[in-house]
Amino acid sequence: MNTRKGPDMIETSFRIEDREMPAHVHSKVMKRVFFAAYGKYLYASAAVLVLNLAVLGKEVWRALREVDLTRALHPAPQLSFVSALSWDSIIAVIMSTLLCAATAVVLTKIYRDAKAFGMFRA
Amino acid sequence: MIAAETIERAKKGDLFAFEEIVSEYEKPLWNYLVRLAGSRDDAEDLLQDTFVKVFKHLGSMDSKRNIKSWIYTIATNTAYDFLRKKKREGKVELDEEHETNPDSSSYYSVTVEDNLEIKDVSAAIDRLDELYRGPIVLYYKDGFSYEEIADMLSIPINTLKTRLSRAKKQLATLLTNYGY
Repeated sequence: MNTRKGPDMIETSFRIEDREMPAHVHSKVMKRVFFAAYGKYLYASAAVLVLNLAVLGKEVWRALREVDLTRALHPAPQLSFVSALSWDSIIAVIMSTLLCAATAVVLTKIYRDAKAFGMFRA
Repeated sequence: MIAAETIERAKKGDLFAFEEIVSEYEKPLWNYLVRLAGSRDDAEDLLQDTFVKVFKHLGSMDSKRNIKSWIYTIATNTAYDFLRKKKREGKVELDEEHETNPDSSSYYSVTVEDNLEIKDVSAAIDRLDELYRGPIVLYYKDGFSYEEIADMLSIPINTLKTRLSRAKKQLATLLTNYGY
């Protein structure tokens, strides 16, 4: 019961019941806040990752085609596939994994304290 | 009550600290916005918009200012902007004309034909003119002072008192219509 004197100085008692807030609303609010503040960095990271995966895919495709071309010369095709995978594709895989890990670390740090990163503004 | 240290951390962009602020005020704000907007879906959107704005502008909030009334001010402005937009789109009737013409025949938004079952004052509040719903909830439920509410709504204190008075009269009529 909420009892207060109104502008007419008459004490008024109101029973204004609480509307129950659905449980999912809290996480929706936090998700919106996070994306509004840092969504652009997240999308930029995702774009870099897609780019890396594209390079990797291209390398694998090239390696598979080379296997096709040299199949006649090699007795075991799977070995020829491994040999056809060049060092740069292996490096691309490592770089892309490292980049993903670094992105995850940076985003976690931003979540904890954005202003610590001078370049970001909340 | 949110600790000053938590507010300072949130101002620096600490989302964990900000989440504490959200947890503290989301339920009363939800209640307020449901009553202002008249729909749970709209209230959900408004609550999200409010906290996004709070997060973006928290750094510029005056440290001396009461954070609760500051957040409510943002929520109120967000809700009224939304309702104005809806009015422009013809989805809702705003009741500004009622304030200048309280004796008009359309003054009360509830008619007997609505066949509404009002269980308590709380349900009647939902039927109040939009202009009066906010002040009455802020004053009688959320416990803000006249000064704080007048500041939130950007209106003089006397206007606020008039609105509260009219809200109570309208409530009385609404409840009488339904046998209270």
